[in-house]
Amino acid sequence: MNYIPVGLTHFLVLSAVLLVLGIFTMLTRRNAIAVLMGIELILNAANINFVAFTRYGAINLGGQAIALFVIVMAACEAAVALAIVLNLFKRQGSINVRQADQLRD
Amino acid sequence: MPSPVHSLSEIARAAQGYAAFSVNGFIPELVLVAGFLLAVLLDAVTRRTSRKTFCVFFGIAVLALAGIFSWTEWRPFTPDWQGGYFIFPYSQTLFAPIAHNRVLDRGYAMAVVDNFSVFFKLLASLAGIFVLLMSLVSKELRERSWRLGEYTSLVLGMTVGLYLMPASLDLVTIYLSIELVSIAGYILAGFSRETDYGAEASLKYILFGALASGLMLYGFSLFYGLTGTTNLIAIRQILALNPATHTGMNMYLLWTATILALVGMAYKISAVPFHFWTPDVYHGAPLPVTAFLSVASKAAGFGVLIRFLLFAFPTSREGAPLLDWQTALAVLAVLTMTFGNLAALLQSNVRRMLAYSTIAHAGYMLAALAAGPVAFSRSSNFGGVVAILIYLVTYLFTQLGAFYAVMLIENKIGSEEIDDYRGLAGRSPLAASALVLFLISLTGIPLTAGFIGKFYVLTAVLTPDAITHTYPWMWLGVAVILNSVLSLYYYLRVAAAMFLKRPLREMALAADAGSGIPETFLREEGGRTRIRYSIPAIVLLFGLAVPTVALGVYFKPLVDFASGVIRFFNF
Repeated sequence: MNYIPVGLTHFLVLSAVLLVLGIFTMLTRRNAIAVLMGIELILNAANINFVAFTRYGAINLGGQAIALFVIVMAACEAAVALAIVLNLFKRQGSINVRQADQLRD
Repeated sequence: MPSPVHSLSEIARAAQGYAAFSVNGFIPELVLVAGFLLAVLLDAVTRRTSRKTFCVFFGIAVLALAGIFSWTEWRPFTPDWQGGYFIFPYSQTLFAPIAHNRVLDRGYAMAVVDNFSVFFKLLASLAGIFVLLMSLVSKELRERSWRLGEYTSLVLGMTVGLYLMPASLDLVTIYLSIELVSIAGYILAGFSRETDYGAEASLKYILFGALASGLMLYGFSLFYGLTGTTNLIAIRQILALNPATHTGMNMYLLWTATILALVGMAYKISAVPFHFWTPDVYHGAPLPVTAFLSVASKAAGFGVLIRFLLFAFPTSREGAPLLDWQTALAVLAVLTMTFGNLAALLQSNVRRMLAYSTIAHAGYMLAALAAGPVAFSRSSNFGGVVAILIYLVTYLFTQLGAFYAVMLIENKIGSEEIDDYRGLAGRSPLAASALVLFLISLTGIPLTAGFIGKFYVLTAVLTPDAITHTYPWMWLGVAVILNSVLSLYYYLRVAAAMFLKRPLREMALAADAGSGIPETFLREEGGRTRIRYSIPAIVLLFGLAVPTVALGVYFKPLVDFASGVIRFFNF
């Protein structure tokens, strides 16, 4: 049976794809929750990079530790973001980010 | 392979020449964190709304104390002094760089206490104190005075991040401190959450901010992959010593990583492709918060940017090809200042106009950083970094003053439209004159602080090359000058409205139409009544106006102070 050994490149491609998907999600989705999911994709793309570089670069455990920090930071950011979205829902009755356009030139 | 464990005597030996190390350098931040926790407690204990202002005074005291502790870490320059001292040496953390055998080498630390970071800490404290004082006067916040304790604790929490940002010497600390500032900022921006504007401002801030910091983190991960470390000095050494990290395909990767990393910092200083949030957030947030974001957050952003660009990239003197970030930054600077000024021209709202003008000011400072960050010889000027530091101090008083004057006027007339400012000089000569003073200082007209800042920026940009005696950044200097002329138009438009134009007739009619303009504003005489301010409000106005004039006349201490910072880079 043939199988492809998984190497650093696979992880880097995966993280690059995740990054692009995250940016795409953030820019195109209207639902605030979906936009927040895009943020998570971007952060986790970076996390995969950190962990993969640590694993295959055989450098030290630095990348793994950074990933832990980032996970905590992402949770904090998500908590604040959800509170802000909730507040937006109270104000305008929907969480469509396109509707929040009163501040403009 | 060196052992990661080091005896105490070894550490003590390595620490010789450093004033102290580890947690000693962390005292200002600890004071702030303790103050933050106590402010939360104090907020819970005080029940009466009328007592909540006490929390604000407590916050001012904490900021002052932290500032004093930072000040004790200032070290005057002596030739044999090797630089600042470092907290959190790598040997005690998980983040050990590869094959380091000089454990307490001044490079391998998470954060650094040097004059550069002390300068920014003092700046953050000063801005924080002024902003908390402004908050006591702000009508927007006084209407929510039962939440002032919460507000104070958020400002203190944000200041912790502001303290750490310019002190960071590691990509991880840079990311964490930027996030610390941002998350507090997201909440503060939406502090008037019951209003549509507040809700929208915080939403826009967090969406742009999260995208920018996420991209920055991805850039950091690429740096980590390229060099195997997250420490700025270690990155510099590896880039200089190992050509494989920046040749062939890796050069593209290095550029990608750099650009992505700069996204997060450009967002913090609101440089042009990442400025979209600025006018909306500055418009929707309460004015003291706007002032804090535009001064302190921007200053710390520049601190991080300078630290990152000057520490992580080897210069050509170190034998490695220079990553030409200077030209890229110069283009960005011209785009930023031109866009900021052009957009400000079109605004009818004073607050939005000031928001766009802060973008333009970021452009001027970027120009100084791009042209000649460090003067390598003892020539007539000190280089771009010192120019930025001088600019930031003058900008602090001027920009805070402008926002404060706008706030005072808005408290009374309930509007920020330039049309509503017509004839204001007759009713409120003090606030109108002060606003004009701040606006001409923002333009950079002599005898005001803004002129000194702009003068040093231009000196840094228009410095002849030491070898060829040509002016490599002439076009950048021309762009700065043209933009300053452009900015004069929209700043003086406000002054002209206040001093030269009569109030619109519609304003008088609006008084009885119940259009939301307070009755006190237009009583009987149709907008001709004198506007009166409380004594503390006037004292604070003078507290900002006097330095704006004083620094424009007597600026030698400021220049000496700022140039004492740059010598610590030891390039």
